[in-house]
Amino acid sequence: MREERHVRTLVRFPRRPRVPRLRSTRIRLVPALVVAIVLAAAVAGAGWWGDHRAERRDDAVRQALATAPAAAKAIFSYDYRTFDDSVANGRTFATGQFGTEYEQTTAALKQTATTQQAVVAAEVSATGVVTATAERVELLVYVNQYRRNVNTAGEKVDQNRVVLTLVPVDGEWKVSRAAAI
Amino acid sequence: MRARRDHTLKVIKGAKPGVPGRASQRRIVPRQVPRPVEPIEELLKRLDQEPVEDPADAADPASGDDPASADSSPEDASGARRTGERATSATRRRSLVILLVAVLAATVAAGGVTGHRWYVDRATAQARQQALAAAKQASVNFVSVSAASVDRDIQRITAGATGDFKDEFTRGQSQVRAAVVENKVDSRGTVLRAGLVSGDRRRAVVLVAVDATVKNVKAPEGRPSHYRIQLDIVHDTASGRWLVSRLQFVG
Repeated sequence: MREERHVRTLVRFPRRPRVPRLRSTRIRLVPALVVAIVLAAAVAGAGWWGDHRAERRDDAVRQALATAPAAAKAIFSYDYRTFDDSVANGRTFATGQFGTEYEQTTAALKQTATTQQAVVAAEVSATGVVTATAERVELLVYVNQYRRNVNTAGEKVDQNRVVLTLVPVDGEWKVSRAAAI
Repeated sequence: MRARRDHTLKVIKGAKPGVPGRASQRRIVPRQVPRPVEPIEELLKRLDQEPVEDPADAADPASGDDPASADSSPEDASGARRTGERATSATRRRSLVILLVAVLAATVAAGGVTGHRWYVDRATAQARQQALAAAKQASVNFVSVSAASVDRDIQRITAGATGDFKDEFTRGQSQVRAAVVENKVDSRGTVLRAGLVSGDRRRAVVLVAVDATVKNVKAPEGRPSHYRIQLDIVHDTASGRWLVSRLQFVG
C-alpha cells in the first residue's frame, strides 16, 4: 500500500526547514501555561464542588442524627393522662403527609389509650445512617417502647426497629416518614 | 454552452430562460485581485531576518523617523527595529509568563488541596460502603446456621472475624456446634436494613436489622426471629478485607 502511494506522488516537495527561534518557543509557552491553568482550575473546581457536596451531606447527617432521638422519643411515646400534650409534642417533629397520618393514628388511639390507661415511653438505643443526601436522610433507629397498662402487670418492652426519614423544613429537620420494620 | 440555455437550469422562479445575449452579461463577476507584491529584491534583502509584525513596525521609531538611514543602510535600520521590538515585547512577554506561572502555581495549589479533600471524602464514602456490605454479610452469616452444614457455617463466621470477636467465638465454637446439632437448628437470615453509626477509612460501627426463620426441635415449622445487631468492623490492611471485631445484639 505504501509503494502505491509513492508511485502516485509525482512530485515530492521537500519540506521547508524550520529554523528554531526563541520567539516561537515563547509563543508556545504562553498557550501551554494557559492550558495548564485551565486544567488545574478545572481540577480545583471539581474538587471544591465534590468536597462541598460531601460537606453538605455530612452537615445533613449531623443535624438529622441530632434531631432523631428526640423525634423518635416524642413520636413513639404517649401517656393517657396527658395524651393531647404528648401528641402535640410528637406532631412538632412530623412534617407533610406523615404529619397528617400521625394525627389520624393518634386520634384513633386516644379512646383505647384512655380505657387501657396506657403509658408508653420510648427510648432510642442506637441510630445508624441508611442513606443520606443534603436534602434527605434515612435512619435506622433501634427504639425500645416501655409499655404499661391496666391489663399487664409491670412493664413490657418492645424492641422495635424503625426507619425514620428526615427532611429539612425551614432549617429544621423533621420526620417525613416513619416505618417499623 | 448549449446546456446553459436549457429551461431546466432556471434558478429563479419566473425568470426568463437564459438567452444568448445575456449570457456574457451574467458571467461578469468581481475577481479577487492578488495584493501587490513588494519587489523581490526588497524581500530577499531581509529574508534572513526576523518576521516583523505590522503594529510593531508602525510603532517602531527607527523605521519612520529616519527614512534616509533606512534607505542608505537597510541592515542598520532593521537591526535597530529588531532590538527595539525585542526589548518591548520581551519584557511584556516575560511579565506575562511570570504572571501565568504565578497563577498556575496558585491554581495547582488550590487544586491539590481541594482535590485531596475530595479524594479523602470519596475514599471514606467507599470505605463506609465496604464496611456496610461486610457487616450485612457477617450478620447474615451469624444467624444462618444449620445442623446439616454446621462446620461450614462456623468456618464462614470465623473467616470474617478478627480480634475479640474471633477469640470469643472460637472459644465457644464447640458449644455452639453441639447445640446446633442437638436441637437440629436450621436458621436462615435476611437483612432488612443496615445503617452506619460511624465510620472512617479504617473502622466502622454498623447497625443491621436482620430477620430470620429459625427451625429447631421445639419449632419444626420455623419461628420468625427479629434481631437488632450492632457490629464493629475493621479494615484488615494485609488482606484488604473488612472484618468483624465485635458483634452484639442491641437491647
